[in-house]
Amino acid sequence: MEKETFLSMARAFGLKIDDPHIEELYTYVQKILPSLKCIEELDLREIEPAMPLTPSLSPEGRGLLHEFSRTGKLRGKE
Amino acid sequence: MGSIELCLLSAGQLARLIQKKEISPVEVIKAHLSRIESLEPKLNSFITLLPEQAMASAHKAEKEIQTGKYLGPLHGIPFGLKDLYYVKGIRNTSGSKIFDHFIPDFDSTIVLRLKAAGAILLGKLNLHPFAYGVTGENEEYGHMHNPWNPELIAGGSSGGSASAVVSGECTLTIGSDTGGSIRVPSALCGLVGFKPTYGRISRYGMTALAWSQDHSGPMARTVEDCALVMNAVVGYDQNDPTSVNLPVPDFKKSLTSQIKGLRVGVVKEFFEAPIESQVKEWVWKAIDKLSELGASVYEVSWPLYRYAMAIASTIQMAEATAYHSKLIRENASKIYPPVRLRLEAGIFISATDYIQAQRARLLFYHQSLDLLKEVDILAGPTAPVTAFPIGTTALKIGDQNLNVVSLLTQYTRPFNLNGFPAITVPCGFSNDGLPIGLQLAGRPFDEEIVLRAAHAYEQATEWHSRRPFSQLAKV
Repeated sequence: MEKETFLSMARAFGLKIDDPHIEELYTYVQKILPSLKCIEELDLREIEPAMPLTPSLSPEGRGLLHEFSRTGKLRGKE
Repeated sequence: MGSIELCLLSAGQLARLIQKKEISPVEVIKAHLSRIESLEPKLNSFITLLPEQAMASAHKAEKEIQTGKYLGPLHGIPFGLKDLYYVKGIRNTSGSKIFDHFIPDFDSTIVLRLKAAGAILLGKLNLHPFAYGVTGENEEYGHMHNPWNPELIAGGSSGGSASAVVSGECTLTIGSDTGGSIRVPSALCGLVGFKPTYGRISRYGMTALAWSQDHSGPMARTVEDCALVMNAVVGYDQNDPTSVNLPVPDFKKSLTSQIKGLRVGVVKEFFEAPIESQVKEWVWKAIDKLSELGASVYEVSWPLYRYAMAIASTIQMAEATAYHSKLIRENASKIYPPVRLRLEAGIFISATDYIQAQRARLLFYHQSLDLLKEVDILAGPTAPVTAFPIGTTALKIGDQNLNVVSLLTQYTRPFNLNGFPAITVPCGFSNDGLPIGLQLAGRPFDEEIVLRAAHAYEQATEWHSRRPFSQLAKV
């Protein structure tokens, strides 16, 4: 990450960019972010992220879904 | 029975004595308070002690039991809570002095259920600040110490919970686990630590680290004790939006020790990751023991395993920063410096990064489910190393110099990412007398198989019965 981008994001969040700690944070971020980049190798074209409001993810729906994934049977149905 | 012996019994053993009225909860609590008084100067397991409240509860329990109102196997059993579970009227620090005076006005669901089962709260336990670290270091309330050698880490973030149980300060504790925070300290201290399926135990009233990976669970001396806690705390909670409404089995009944025909998968990628040779040796011996007990062992491959750390870390960083955003903006300079760095680094995870990680997580989840169609459980190490000196930030394995946070969580984090149940049980000791843990993981909501396999292994070995007597005598 470019230093300018880093400072701009830090400022937008509300960090004080004239704090000496910012240099330490920049070094840390430069070390951490590259280790997360391998996610880009994965083929995610067919996958939608799970959303908290997905109807099947109501407490009862989620329970049924998990039970189905475990047993292959839906409660109340043959 | 002597006071120290009382403190080293399992909850199951204590319960049988209490039910038969051979000992009273008052004796049990007195013994534990005395143990705490003698060990705390060195172990520092607690942030807040509740001796008067505990004694009052013990007298109440004694009266109830004497009048025939026995509530079940946790009645009169002393427990501790990681100091991020809200207890009405008791300060909740989350391991940071910033919250030294914060007093919640309601109980977390887990504490309500444990109290309803008659368990007696001894106090709130030390943790890595905000549960954001795996070593159990805390400069503000003092570091946690491993009872097998107090110069070494207890592990984290539930380090106080682990040291309290293994030393006999508490019979049971409740930890939390976002990347391994129940299982890693349990393994490093020689305990059983269980992280059930995501959604099984309510997180209501618990300080979050990363909502979608936070799990609650028991830390104890035996698998039976974990099952007893599960029976008391599992069940749907409308206050937790991720709580699952499923029938609750009797977890204690699942402990049959019968694992003949169980299919155990050993993930080959686990042993391609950095691991100390002694840990590897003891874990393989444990897998051989499962085979001797009648299980069939298969090598399996988990190709997406190597992505788990990046996916889980991306999600954790973004969620932790979102949860603590007000704190970071207003009080960053007061946050423990290594935790401050982790929290602020989450600012630089973009919305796109987070969503891509959530999509990758689904891929990982489905591959995990497929893997567990071939086998019933997965077996492997809990942590790749034994406990090391407090203050260590990197360890050398072979010719690699490795960051301790990534290293300690390399086997546990995948099960926070997919939410599957996972347990650690003691499976051996290194040449320098430090515990090693075996991790067993199963299908979602199939805790019974995980507990049964762990129990069968535990009952066929003696590791769980070892205690750091001579080490604590020097304390």
